[in-house]
Amino acid sequence: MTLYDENILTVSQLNGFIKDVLTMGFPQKVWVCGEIQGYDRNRNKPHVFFDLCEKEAQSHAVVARIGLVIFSGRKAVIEEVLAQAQNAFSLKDDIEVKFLCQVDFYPPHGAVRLIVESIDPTYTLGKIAQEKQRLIALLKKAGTLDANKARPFPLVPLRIGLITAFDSAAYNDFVSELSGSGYGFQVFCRDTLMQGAKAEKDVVAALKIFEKTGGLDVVVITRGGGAIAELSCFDSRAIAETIAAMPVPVVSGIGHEINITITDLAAHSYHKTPTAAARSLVERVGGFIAGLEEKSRDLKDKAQAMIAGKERRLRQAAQDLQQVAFFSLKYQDQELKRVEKGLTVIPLKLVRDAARAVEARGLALSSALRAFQKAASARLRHYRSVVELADPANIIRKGFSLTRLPDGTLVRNSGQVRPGDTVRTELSDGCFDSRVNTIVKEARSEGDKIQ
Amino acid sequence: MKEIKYSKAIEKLDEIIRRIEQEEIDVDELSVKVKEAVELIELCKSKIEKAECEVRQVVDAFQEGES
Repeated sequence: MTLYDENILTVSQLNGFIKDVLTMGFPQKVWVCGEIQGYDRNRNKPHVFFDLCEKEAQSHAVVARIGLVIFSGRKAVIEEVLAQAQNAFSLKDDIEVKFLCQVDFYPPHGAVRLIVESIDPTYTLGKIAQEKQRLIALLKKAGTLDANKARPFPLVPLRIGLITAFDSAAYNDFVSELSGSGYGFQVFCRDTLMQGAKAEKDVVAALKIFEKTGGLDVVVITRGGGAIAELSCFDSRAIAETIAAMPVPVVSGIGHEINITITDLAAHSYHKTPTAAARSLVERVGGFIAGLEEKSRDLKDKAQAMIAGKERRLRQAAQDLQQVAFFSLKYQDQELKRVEKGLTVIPLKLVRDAARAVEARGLALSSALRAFQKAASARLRHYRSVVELADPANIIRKGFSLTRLPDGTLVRNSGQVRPGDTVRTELSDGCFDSRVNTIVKEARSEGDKIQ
Repeated sequence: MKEIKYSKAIEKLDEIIRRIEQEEIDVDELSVKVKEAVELIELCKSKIEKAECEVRQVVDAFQEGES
């Protein structure tokens, strides 16, 4: 039977031909990659029908689409492959996958479809990793990953907002580590989905509730071990941005040995397990208490050192004072001695000076007395010579004589006598009487006149 | 003469000596004045001796008390 048979074909005949052609055209299975769509709503059906599509890089417009089916018999195979990849992801809408498929034509629907045989998880992982790196770069550039690290971490983080599944293993590990410390932690737990499609939204909501509540020292996001599946929900831009906006530090405890999530990167710090996250808080409080003890020791030491220093200085000052006082006293003593010496010497000197002055006056008195006597006797001698000169006896001895009238009157001029008068002339050794003969009245020399 | 001060005595003494030196003094008065001068000198001397004695006593007592 050929395609060009003149006979008219029925639809089933035609579809049978198409199926044969396709089967010949795709004798082997092919690897096909694309983005899953329509999977989630069918995931619980025995045979899962969905689409794989290719989008334009810029506009994200779908440029090609094809239907796929995972038959119930293949589900186990695919799950086994994913389990070998540590359940890093599961099949869901919007992820890029690489399937090994048989190209098939289903005659009842007249539709080409791919029968999924297997999956290459490394492709998806690579895509996820790529996407994650792109997101990290973007958030880093925006400062989103550093914002929460800039929040000051309280010295004593005792009031804790806990984001985890209430009463889960993670919750119990975390709380028992805290209560084992004996410190007064207060935990406010927001029961939160930590896996699955709704985890991202729930975590964001929990963060926002704690942001609104306030009064917390720190917020902890943690989840337990178990399946690594759905870890990718923490590679979330929304969670990272909400953490960045938190006023208190956020500690994450969702990390995995080999996989650090974007939530971890955006947090103030991250830990591998809930226990480790709790321990970091216990250590913080313990460190503060130890620091307090050390500080109080330091304070005591410093205070003691200060007191000792002051004491030393005081002692030194006392010594200095003593020395200064001693020198001052010594100086004063010397001064006093000097004054004393002056006191003993000066009055005696004064007394001796006074004695000398009196002595000098004694001498002055006697010398003045001598001078006085000398002058007095000289004056007396002078008087005597004058008197002797004036004595009439002495004059008579020199040849002068006195002539008296008989009545004794001394004759001083010629008028006193007349011729015939008797006069007596007195000489030094006697006298004689004579008679006046002539009187001559004329001026004579004094000597003559007396004669 | 009893209560005369040392400085006053010296003053009077100087006056007498000056008058004798200047021969302002009458001879009749001389012996009286000289006698007065001698008495003044004696008075001054005794005052000085007394003062010296007292000073020595005070200073000696002071030095003894100190040692």
